[in-house]
Amino acid sequence: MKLRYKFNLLALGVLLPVGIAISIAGVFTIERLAYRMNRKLMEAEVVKVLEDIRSAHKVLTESGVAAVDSYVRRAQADILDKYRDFRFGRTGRIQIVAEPSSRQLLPQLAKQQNPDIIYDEIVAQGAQGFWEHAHGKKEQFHYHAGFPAWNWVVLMSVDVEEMLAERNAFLNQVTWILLLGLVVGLLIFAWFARTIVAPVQQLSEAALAISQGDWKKNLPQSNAVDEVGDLTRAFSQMSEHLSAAHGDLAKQAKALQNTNTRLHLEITEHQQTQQEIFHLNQELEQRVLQRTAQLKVANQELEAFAYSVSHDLRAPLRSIDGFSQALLDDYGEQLDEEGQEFLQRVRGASQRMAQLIDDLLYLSRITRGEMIRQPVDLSSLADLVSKELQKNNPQRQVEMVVQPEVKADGDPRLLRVVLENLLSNAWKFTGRRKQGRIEFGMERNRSTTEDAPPVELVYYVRDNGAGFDPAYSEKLFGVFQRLHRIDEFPGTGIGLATVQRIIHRHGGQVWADGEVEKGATFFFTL
Amino acid sequence: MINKKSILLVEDNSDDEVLTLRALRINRITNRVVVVRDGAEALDYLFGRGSYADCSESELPGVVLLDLKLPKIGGLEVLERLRLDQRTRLLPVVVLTTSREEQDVQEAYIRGANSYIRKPVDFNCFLNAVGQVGNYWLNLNEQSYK
Repeated sequence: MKLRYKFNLLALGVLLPVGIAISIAGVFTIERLAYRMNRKLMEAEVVKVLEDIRSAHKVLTESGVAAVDSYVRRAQADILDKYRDFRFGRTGRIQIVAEPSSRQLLPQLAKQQNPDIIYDEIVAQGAQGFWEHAHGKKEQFHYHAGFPAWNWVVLMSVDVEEMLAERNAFLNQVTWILLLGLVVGLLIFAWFARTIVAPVQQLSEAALAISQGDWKKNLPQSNAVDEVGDLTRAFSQMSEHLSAAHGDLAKQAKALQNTNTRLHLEITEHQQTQQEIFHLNQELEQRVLQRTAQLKVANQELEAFAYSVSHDLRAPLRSIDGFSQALLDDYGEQLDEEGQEFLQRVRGASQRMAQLIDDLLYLSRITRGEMIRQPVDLSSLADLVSKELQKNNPQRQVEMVVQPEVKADGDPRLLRVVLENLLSNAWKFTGRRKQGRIEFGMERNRSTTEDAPPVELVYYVRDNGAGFDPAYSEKLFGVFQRLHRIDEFPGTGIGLATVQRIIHRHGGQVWADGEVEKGATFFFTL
Repeated sequence: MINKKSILLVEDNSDDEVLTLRALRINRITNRVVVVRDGAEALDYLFGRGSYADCSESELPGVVLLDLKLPKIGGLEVLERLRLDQRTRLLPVVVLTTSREEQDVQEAYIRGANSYIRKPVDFNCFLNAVGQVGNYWLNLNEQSYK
């Protein structure tokens, strides 16, 4: 049930019973007062009549004619005359009844007219008293008192209706006042409902709307200076804050959604890029495969070439050498010394060429083949190589200094070749020193060139031999590059090229320091 | 020396043939030398077929000096066929070639070569090598003739 109806019911439920109760109490009070007042008045009137009768009787008695009928009659008639026109209010009147015949003396009855007082009723009430009696439709209130000397009963009668006229008037007025009060009360309640219930109802509707997500509903306004007004204003303020917050939230959600969309786009782009990268990668792999296959073919061709070089190029050299020797053996006497020397040069050249071919093949073999990296003890390798050198050249006086515990990570077979070449080079170029000195070791944090950052581990082979002109240091590692005449120091110029290839295969670098006649140092990293 | 075993020289290069024969002679290896110039001829000779079908001579050589790079049928194939035949499976075969490729050396031994000699360019070294091979296989080494 809506609050307004509840309030209306409350109004009715309170006002009606209260009004009715007050009315009833008023009616009873008025009735009681009316009765009391009438009794006193009626009693007084009847006493007055009786006083008159008594004084008349006294006069008669004092005159001594109380027993004389005619005097008595005259006195009685005077009394009756006196009160013949007596009226009390509208309906009040005096009645006098003579006993024992119950003859009504006043008001005088016309012939055959029945007396309006039922005498029995009077007798039943005793010598005097108040009583009510219904005469037909009319209710009457009576008081009677007797005057025994004359056998008279004086009776005062009033219509109850008249007597209670005030009460009825009151009832009438009270009804109107009650109705008016009811109306006024209802109006007050209506006002009450409008100023308290309606705002509360609006509040409830607004709250319901907000709870259902309708932020656009008009918020209740109030100028009332009461708690409901405070509540309404507080609610409105709160709702505005909430609405603002909701708006912010919506904005943020929208921004978030935008970000999400952008992110989604970016992800899609990213995925596309990835796919492209994947395709490119695949393409690249395909190309790598193709190149590898091509490289394999090229490698195979190279191998075939190397094979045929090793086989076919050497055969003519063998013939040159062999037949030169045959000439020397069989026809040596027919040649002079110079002719014999020429033939020796032919042989020397062919043998050198054979050596070049062998070295070339060796170089190409070094760069082919599988490389297996593993920990290598370079110190013991260097020891081994230097022992071999000393064993092959026992007449040489060379001091070999090998730093112990030099380890490296690389292919042991190839690293041995590196050390063999570097150490035998050092051995060769210290050949003219009375006391040769060869060092092998390792340095930490040394720069390869002046600008380059330092490398953690640098290995070196140092000698005090013939050295070289640093202007040509770039040429040292070229194939068949030589910085010395062949009759000074023999060799094909393939050793350092081989070293460089091996070092490069390990991802390292090799370089040299030196000066003419002041020795040389070869550095390498791995 | 009575009943000297012959030497079969399989060599396509006439220079090498001359030099080998010279080396044998200087080393005083006087055994008869049969020269064939390719792999097919070598097989014909050893199995008594083709142009050698009517030869009554059934004796196998004491040693075969086999070059690897030969026309028609290569040295390695010759070696393989010899080892498959019951009669020639124990025949001493010395590979005498220019190549020093590790692969060739390995393949030759796998196919049952008894020795692998690389011909040096220096004739004096070659002379020495031929002398040693001849002496070893023809005089020093005991063969099974089964």
